[in-house]
Amino acid sequence: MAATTADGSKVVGGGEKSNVDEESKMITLFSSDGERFEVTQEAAAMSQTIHHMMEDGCVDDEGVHLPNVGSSILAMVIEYCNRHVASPDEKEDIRSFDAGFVNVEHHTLFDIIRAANYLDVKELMDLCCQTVADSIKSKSVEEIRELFGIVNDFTPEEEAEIRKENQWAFE
Amino acid sequence: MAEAAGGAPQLPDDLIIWEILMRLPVKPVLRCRAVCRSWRRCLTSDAKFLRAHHSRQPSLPLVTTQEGQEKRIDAMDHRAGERRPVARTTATATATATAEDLDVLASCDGLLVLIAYGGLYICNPATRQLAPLPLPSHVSCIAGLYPHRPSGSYRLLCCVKTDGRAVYHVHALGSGELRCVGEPPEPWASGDVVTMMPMMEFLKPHVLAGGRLYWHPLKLPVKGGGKVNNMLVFDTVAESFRHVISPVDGACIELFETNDGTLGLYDYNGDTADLWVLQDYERWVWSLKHRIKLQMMPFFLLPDTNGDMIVLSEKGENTGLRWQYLQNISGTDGSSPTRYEWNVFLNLKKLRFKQSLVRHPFFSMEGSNNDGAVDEKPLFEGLSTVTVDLDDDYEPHTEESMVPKSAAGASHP
Repeated sequence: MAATTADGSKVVGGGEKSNVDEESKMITLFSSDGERFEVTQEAAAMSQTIHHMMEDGCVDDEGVHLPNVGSSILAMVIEYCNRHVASPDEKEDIRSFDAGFVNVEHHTLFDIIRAANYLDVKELMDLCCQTVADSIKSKSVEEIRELFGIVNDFTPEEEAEIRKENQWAFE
Repeated sequence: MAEAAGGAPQLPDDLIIWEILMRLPVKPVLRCRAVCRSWRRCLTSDAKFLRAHHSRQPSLPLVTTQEGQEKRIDAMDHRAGERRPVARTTATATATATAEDLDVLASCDGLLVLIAYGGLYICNPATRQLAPLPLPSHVSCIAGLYPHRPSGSYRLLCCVKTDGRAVYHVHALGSGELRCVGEPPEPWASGDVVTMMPMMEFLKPHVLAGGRLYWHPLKLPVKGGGKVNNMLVFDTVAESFRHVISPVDGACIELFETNDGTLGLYDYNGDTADLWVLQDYERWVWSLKHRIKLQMMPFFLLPDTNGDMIVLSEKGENTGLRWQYLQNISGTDGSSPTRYEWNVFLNLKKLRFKQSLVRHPFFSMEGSNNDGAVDEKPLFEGLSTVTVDLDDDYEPHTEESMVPKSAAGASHP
């Protein structure tokens, strides 16, 4: 995993030159369970949520608290962002990284989707949501309910009616 | 999967519907309507969802073909390497042993105008809504299918040949009326052009971009002698015609609507393709975006809204005209990772199809018996996807295919 915990805090403030070493400016993120992650501002900016906070000057010396994201998931999101800002042009490498990245249990994928949604990381949302969509393309109605933990609230007659309406989709 | 429900909270419905289900093709979306009530509500009648879902669908070229007793219209998906069925006719018991004529004349927002079973129909293959089009027999060709933005209705532009002159009419679907909108400017209103219009429309159909219908340039005579590459345009809101000069003079020109609703033009000649975009409609100013160096010489080119192109090229000297290649070329970097085996019996139309689950009231208004499947004349049943063979010997070219613009934004008067 690319995320590391810092042994000393780095202050990101108005006193530094803003154009020199732009990429190496760090920002601290705190997961919901209090773990601390140091990331480059560039990687953090992949999250529109954090990017807006940085732009609006809402990031204090301590860093950004993310009460909605647990440490294991945050670590994965950070790994994704670091990889994507590191070599955005190497399409083949990125493709195989992405394929490996989403090769996880569905409940983990759902956790990443929730985090990516909260953090507003568009590329990660696209990747994970497309992966889930691809996996349910040929699933039956029952399998889809099971996957998302949804309770069937139709009466048997209602369900039969819906299936009949678009019969060809159920064949 | 049992542990999926334990402990961790599930994804909220909103997120599932708008971020995941939105990405599904039509068939699984229809299945998802049976999952639970809240999904059914959104996936069936939330207009915003249905429109957004439609806009995400791939825009696939249509192909007509005959296989045995069956005539088919398919959509060619070059990413999956498949021909997806859209509609088909079979030999009916009373007709002759050959399949009834089947062809597509217009495609817009998931709607198709079809000739089938001896009649003209408007249909939506995704919802299987179908209705006959009550157009009089003196309509010589369908010149356009488009949404009329101010009223929200869908309309057909038809050409009626009257005393050797082209007179255009508009039919708003479901209205039962055919309203005259006048003649186009000379030289489009009379002479050989009028006779040729149906064939022209068949080979190089109209293109809808930014609320206007454009037809491919024709070399037509001008006052004072000579000929120019003339383009006819119909403004669907003002309901008026205009004719303009094509920015390029070549014979191999393809018009298309770009992602942001402007008119694009590919001028391909030999092994290059120049992309032009209409910058200013009123002043008729175009700019040359870039030139792509192709690795083959296409004889057929169909652009997509993002600038990608589906092209057909011939295999080679010893294989004759029967055997061809189909490939997709990226409009951004000229790359083409795969190539497919194609042949002359697969007729690629210059029309693209993008599935839509949006339902339209005009289907019941046009006078169909029901507003679902029409079983007496099956068009949508019993269809299967056909795999298209990859050319295993194809090696994608790795050299740079984009040629920098020599003139900065050259515009054409």
